[in-house]
This record gives sequence, structure tokens and C-alpha cells, in this order.
Amino acid sequence: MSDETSVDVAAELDQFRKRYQQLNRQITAQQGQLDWSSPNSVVLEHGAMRLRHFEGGDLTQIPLLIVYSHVNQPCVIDLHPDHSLVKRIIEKGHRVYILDWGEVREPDRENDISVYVEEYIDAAVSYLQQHGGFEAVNLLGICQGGTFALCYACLHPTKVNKLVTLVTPVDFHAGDSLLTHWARFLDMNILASNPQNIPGTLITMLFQMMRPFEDMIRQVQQIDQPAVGRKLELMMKMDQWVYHCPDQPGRAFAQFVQGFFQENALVQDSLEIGGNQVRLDSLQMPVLNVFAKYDHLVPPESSAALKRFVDSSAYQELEFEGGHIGLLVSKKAQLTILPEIGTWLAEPVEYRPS
Amino acid sequence: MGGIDDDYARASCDNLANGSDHEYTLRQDNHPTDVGPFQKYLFSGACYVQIGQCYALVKQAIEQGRNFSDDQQLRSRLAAVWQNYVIQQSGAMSSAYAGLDAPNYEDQQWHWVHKLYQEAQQAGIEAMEQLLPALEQMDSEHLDLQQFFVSWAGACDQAYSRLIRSDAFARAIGEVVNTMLGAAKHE
Repeated sequence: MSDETSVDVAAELDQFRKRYQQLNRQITAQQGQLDWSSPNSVVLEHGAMRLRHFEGGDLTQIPLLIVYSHVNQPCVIDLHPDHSLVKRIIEKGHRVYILDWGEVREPDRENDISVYVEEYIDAAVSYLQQHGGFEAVNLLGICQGGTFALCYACLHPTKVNKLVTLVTPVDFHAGDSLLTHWARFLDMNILASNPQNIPGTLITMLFQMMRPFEDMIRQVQQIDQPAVGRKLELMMKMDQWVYHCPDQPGRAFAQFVQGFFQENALVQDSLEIGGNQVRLDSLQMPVLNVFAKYDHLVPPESSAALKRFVDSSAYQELEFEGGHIGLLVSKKAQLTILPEIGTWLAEPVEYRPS
Repeated sequence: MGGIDDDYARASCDNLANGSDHEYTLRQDNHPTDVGPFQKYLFSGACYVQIGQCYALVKQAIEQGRNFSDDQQLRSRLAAVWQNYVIQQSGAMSSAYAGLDAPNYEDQQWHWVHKLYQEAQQAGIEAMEQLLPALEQMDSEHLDLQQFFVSWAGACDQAYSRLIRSDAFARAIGEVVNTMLGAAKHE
């Protein structure tokens, strides 16, 4: 190698090393705990589930219950005051409650999906009915939590005033779904005969295997031009969030993979939860379906399939020009689509089927 | 198996973290198993340094008026960086295993894990076979390190995207998970 080339490249790499070391020092100094950024309190505990009420909002408004996915920590929707779905909804005057699935414990391995849909969601809805004096609540489900919220709304249509689904898989065989592709070869009978909780590290691994080189480019850019201040704080929280998927209850996980991913039972009208058939055409409330154009986890086609099952006068959809996480966290979403959801929730219900 | 392998992390990343002249070594038998939420900057950064060293070889070839697309050593080094990074990603499997009470997994043949590695290795070699001629076609006189890295990572991303959508890969990842679950101890 010519001396000149060697020296030039070595000097450039040396600068890069220094920038990495600087970023590493900043990360070490600023590392904090992953937590909610908005003040909240637990108002109900039921099994592992905790119902959190967030401060603010109009007491006369119908309460909004947010159901997040079980496969990630729910605090991603309120990681930072400037990047908080919760805050954007409260700003529109809504009372916000979040169903926090809680920590999966050893005995939970025997729990099936009905525990989460029919016990936990129903316990939260019943609490809000009793304490607010409302017949029905507004329900907002995100990702897998959206699928659970959909199932609940189908099973208990009179308890749901309005339903919002965000990046929610409905038709699990629509679009280019990598998770569906991988799920084809999973043998859930192994888990059914030997139910055990699935470590969150396994879920983290699967998510991280989806696009590592995109992540690498982003990380190298971050070393080259490091974020500072609140941007760095948010980036670190996102890194922690991505890395800490919770454990999964064994039986429910097996049911979800088999029933939803492999058999696509939700759109086949063959899904049963707690012995009751889940029929999407039994949705009897206004539905707002929000999905992301560049979603790498839930293809927009999978979410948009909901349209086929809901009365057109009750159905609205919004497509976000971004990705799965961007819809929840990005600055663009904070300024556009999240306030729109708050506005839609505040509109009077004109539709009520016979 | 299991736990953080500090030796590997040091050997792979000293070059970045401490500025030492360690070569980036491929040790399939001893990869890190728990990278932590921020360690990914170290591993991605270490790859960048390795790619930088490959870039120096390309610059040298350009200066000397030599073709570099047939350079087997260069191709192997670029493919090794891919391989190491992909293994580091899937190395988290060991960490996932550690969360399961699966004492017998150690005795398994690791058949499907090796199958995954083989699939990944082949895809990396093929990606590099396409990358270098494509770079040579470019205005290589003005090819800088950033462009070289983005081209390499872009080629890897495309190859990886094809790899993980293949039936062979899906089968292998499915069987790895099945094996883990099957080996877990029934309480």
C-alpha cells in the first residue's frame, strides 16, 4: 500500500475512533432507566395487569383505553414529552388509560389468549365503565394490542364506543410479512405440550435479525454525527426499548403464532377466544384504522384488510408516510397523524348500526 | 456457552474502542452472546473500521492502476466482515437460549445453527462477488470511504433481505427456535 493512501485512511479511521469514544462516553454518562415520561398512577391491578391513568384530560370525555402489544414495552408511546402519543391524545382533551400487561411470571406460561382479551381487557373496561359512569369506552389498540382490541370489540361490541387500530395486523397473510414467513416453520405443538414462557431475548433477537444492515448504517451515522441533548436522550431510550422485549406467556404465544400467523384465523372466521367465535363483521362501532406505508413489521396490506369487514359508513383509514415505530414516535407523527386521531375521537358518533 | 464473551468483544473491537492494531478476527465458536442496548455502536463501528481497511486496499489498487474486482483477498476480507456481523446478530440466540431452562441444548448437534451460518456465508460471498465489479464500474477515482462503506452495506442489506426471505433461512430459523423449545426442561 502506498504510504500516502495508508496515512490518509488511517487518519480518517482514527478520527472515527475518537468520535466513537466520545459517543460512548456520552452514552455512559447519560444512561438512565426506561420509563414513562408523563405522570401516571396505577388505578387497577388484575393478575399481572396494571391499568395506568395518565394525568390530564377532560373528565366529561369518554375515557380512552390504550392496549399496546404484548411483545414490547408499552412505554414507547410515552418515552419522551416531545415524542409521546399519550401526550398528543391528552392535549386533545381525552382521558387516557393504558393497559400495562405487566411482568410475565412463571405460572403465566399456562395462560391462553382469553386471559389477556377476556380477563385483562375486560377488567380494564369494566373499571372505566364503573368509575366513569359510561356505557362504553373508546379503545385504541397498537400492533398486536390492536389485534387483541379488535377481538375484544368483536366479542363485546356494546362496550366499545369507538375503536382505533394502529399498525394492527388483521390479515396475517397479506403483503410481504417477514414474521409470517418465519412463523411457517415454527412447530407450536412443542410449546402446547410443554408450555413455558418465551424469553424476551428470543423476541429481541428475531426483531434484530430483520434488518441489521440498515441498523448498522444508522449506527455508523450516529457515531459520525452524534445527536446531542434531548435527541441523544430519545435515541438512547429507543435503543433500550428495542433491546428489552418482555418475556412471553408460553401458551398464549403458541396460540398467537398458530392461530393468527399460521392459520390466519381472524380473517377466516375460524378464531375462537374463550370458547366464543370472533367475527370481524360483528364490529358495531366507528372504526379508525391507521397504518404505515413503510411498515417492516406489519405490512400496510395486512392492516388495510380490516376495511373488508366493517360497514363503509363506520370505517375510516389513515395512511402514515413512515414506518411502524415512526408512527408512534417520530416528530412528523407528533405533528400530523397523532393529533388527527385525537380529533377523530372527539367527534360525535353519527354512526350506530341497527 | 452463554454469558458475555469479553475476549471476543475485545479482539473484534479493540481497533475501534482503544485504537489498537488488532486484526478483526472471525471466531464462530466464540461470539458475543449479549451485546447490550448500546454495544451495537461498538460492533457496527468495528465493522466500519474493517471496511475502512478494505477501502485502503481498493484505493491502493486504483492508484496503481490495477483492477480490484478480482482480488480474492479483498473479497474474502469484505465477506468476512459481513459474516462476522451476521453471526453477531444471530449470536444473540445463545442469549435467548440462556433464558430458557434447556439443559440439553448444549448436547444438540447445532445442526440448524450451522445451517444458518452456512446460508449466511454463501450469501455474503455472492454479495461481494457482485459488489466489487460494480464499484469498479463507478468513478472509482473519486470513491471515498463513506461511499465505499454505504455501497458495501447496501450490497449486504440487499443480500441479507433476500437471504432472510428464502425458504432455507426461514426453515433454519424456525428449526433453531423449535430445537430450543424442544430442549427446554419441562417443570
